[in-house]
Amino acid sequence: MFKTYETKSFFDEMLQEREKPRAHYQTLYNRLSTLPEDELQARHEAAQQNFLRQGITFTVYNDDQGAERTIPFDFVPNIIPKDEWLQLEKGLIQRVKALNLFLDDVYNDQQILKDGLIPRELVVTCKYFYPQVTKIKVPRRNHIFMAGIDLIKDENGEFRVLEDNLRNPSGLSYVFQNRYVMRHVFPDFLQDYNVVSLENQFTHIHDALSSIAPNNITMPNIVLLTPGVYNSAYFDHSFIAQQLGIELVEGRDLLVRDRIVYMKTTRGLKRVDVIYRRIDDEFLDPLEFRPDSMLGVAGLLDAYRAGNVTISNGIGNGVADDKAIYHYVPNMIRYYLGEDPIIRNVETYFLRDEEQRKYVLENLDQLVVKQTDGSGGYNLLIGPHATEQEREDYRVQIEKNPSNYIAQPMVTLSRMPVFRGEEFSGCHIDVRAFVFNGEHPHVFPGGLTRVALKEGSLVVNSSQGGGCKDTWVMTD
Amino acid sequence: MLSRVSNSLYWMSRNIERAENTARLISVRLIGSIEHKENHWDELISISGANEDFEKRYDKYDARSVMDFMSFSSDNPNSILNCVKLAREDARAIREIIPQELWEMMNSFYWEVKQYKYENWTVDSIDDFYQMIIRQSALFQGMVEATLSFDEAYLFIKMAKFIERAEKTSRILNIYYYRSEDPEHNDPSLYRHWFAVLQSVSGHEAYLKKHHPFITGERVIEFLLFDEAFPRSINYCLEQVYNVFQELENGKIEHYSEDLHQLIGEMRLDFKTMSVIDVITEDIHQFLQRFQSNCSQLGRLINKTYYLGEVGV
Repeated sequence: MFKTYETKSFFDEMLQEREKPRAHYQTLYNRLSTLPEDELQARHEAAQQNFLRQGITFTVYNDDQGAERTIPFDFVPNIIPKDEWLQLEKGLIQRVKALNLFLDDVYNDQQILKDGLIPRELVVTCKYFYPQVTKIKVPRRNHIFMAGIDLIKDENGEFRVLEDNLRNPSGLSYVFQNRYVMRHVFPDFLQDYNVVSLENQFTHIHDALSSIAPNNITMPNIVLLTPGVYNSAYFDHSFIAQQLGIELVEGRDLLVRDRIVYMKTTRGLKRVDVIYRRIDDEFLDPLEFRPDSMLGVAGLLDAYRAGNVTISNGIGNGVADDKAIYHYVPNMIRYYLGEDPIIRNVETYFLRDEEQRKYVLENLDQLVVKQTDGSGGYNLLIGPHATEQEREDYRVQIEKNPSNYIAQPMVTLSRMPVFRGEEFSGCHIDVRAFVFNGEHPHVFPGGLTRVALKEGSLVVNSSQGGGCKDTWVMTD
Repeated sequence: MLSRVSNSLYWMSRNIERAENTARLISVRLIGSIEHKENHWDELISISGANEDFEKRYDKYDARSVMDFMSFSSDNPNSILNCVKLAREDARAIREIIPQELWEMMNSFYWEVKQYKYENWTVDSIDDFYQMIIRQSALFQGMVEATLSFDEAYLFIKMAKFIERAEKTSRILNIYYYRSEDPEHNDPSLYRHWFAVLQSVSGHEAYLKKHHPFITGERVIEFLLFDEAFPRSINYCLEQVYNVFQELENGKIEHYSEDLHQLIGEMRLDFKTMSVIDVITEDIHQFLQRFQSNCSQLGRLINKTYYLGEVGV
């Protein structure tokens, strides 16, 4: 089934060249080559069925028939050798440390702006910069309890950071479900390898949440705040709450009295100490942000200010994962930690800069252009794949509001095989790594490998036809 | 436990029980109508108290319309399809509270119901559908017993189930008693009638064991109201509700639970002190209607005592 598989000019995770797997994929390659096609097909279908039965679905919006879709799962795992992972871990911890210091800085003394390393204007005009939370004493100065760092491999096979997600990164539950399905439907694949287990990860995560409780209380009441069952990431929320053994609450389950947050139980009110929130900043508290928010809790920010409750991830984190600020993260690492960045960024052009804009507009057919506040893979221009008209439309948008855009060279994301019935075909992937920060930073082993299933596509987001794969970190 | 969670547990349980009861009620009628061409399909609609809603949508009370309305209609909040859908939505909202196995069962149940070809069902095959509903409900009950810790969550599920059951038995009895009063009934048809009533609550076998094949209206009423061992008699259900309440409150009466305690006490008193003769003499319809309005009050007081209604939607 690999006979027709071509690596082409891309970096392929599995194969060095045609029919020649990399060393750490050899065992899996042999197994895949010997299994009959119809058996693989049957197991592939059993895997998809598994997701539907468990209700790991997201709601398709604009469909009143209640259509629900599963995220397509591909059984060829992304395998990361031990040494490569250890190096990556160091780089991720370094990056999240610097980002956390940056957040603490911009919401307090703003030393980095005074020293001129990042243009002040870029920070204070950022849509996600919230002056409402300046000078708030955040427990342990921890703004980032959970970070999702999106990594890609360039054409030389070097890991690069594509994007930081410091607000509400989702997808952790899928990592566990991918492993679950792998264990049940493809146990033979797993048995061939020594893979870091995910079993005790929630102990770390729970510890991290407990460690940021206000006033160092020892047995904090921790809750996960969700927008509710209709949110597309609801499964993520519910799974994490269940695994952590914490209450999953909606805004309507909470109320604030005398600057203290309570949840409404069958036995009256119970005090809440730590809120791991999965709703966006602007919906948190109708008294401080959007007044029309039905999801939040009136008075929440006031309780936060009084130091009576921890809200995590911190409010206003969007200023650090903005696509324009991204360019400055390597500088932050040098500035705050005095170290060189271990994982490199992808080169970025600023369209607010006249010279760079000129270059970008002249080379639109070779670049990827993104909105600085965009997410989810929406509204980006992939120059080489766009039509003349699409590029022209984008050019008009850019000229109207240049500082709203950045451009990056077309990084050819690495590829790996995806099962297509009769054969395997190469699809682009990225990896969302998760970093948890409590008393000490902790990198979750592996993360979520997302794959762009549409032929030739570079967009891995599930809302845009992406799928996922299990991610194995080897122990030997 | 969060009030919203107990509210979801409560309604998940009631809706599953409701779907099962409706399925059994229709199934018994469907099988009975094969042999005897009697037509009182309107009774089924009366039992669920939905005549007005029904008449807005259908011209006549024929078998097909009634089954369609009670099984699949999205306009009928109590149709089997809607009950299962609502129960699954509640289960989903609390899937981190209930065991994974139970959630998967509910989820599969929903997909099975939803994928049923309900636009072009035939009378020959539809009973399979009702049997499936009854089986899935049994699976639900079994899983609740086998996988849930006996804590507050379990108690709310149990309480909801027995309230729903008691109310349904009462409604069935109330409507079916009217027909037994019909002077045109002869002995064999009365026998058949009461036998079907027993079947509608799965009580025919338990009844036969106790009373042998001597079926009279009076005895059936006694059995369905007062029997202490049959799991769908009102008396039995009420005792279960009382036991759950005692468990929830550790046998104590606090200020906040006083009203609820008193109401359950009054409802039990009727069943402890009255006999079937008293009930029939008093007028069974009045008796049952009083019981049903007490059930509604019971629901309101549970809401109030455990703040179930406190959470806005």
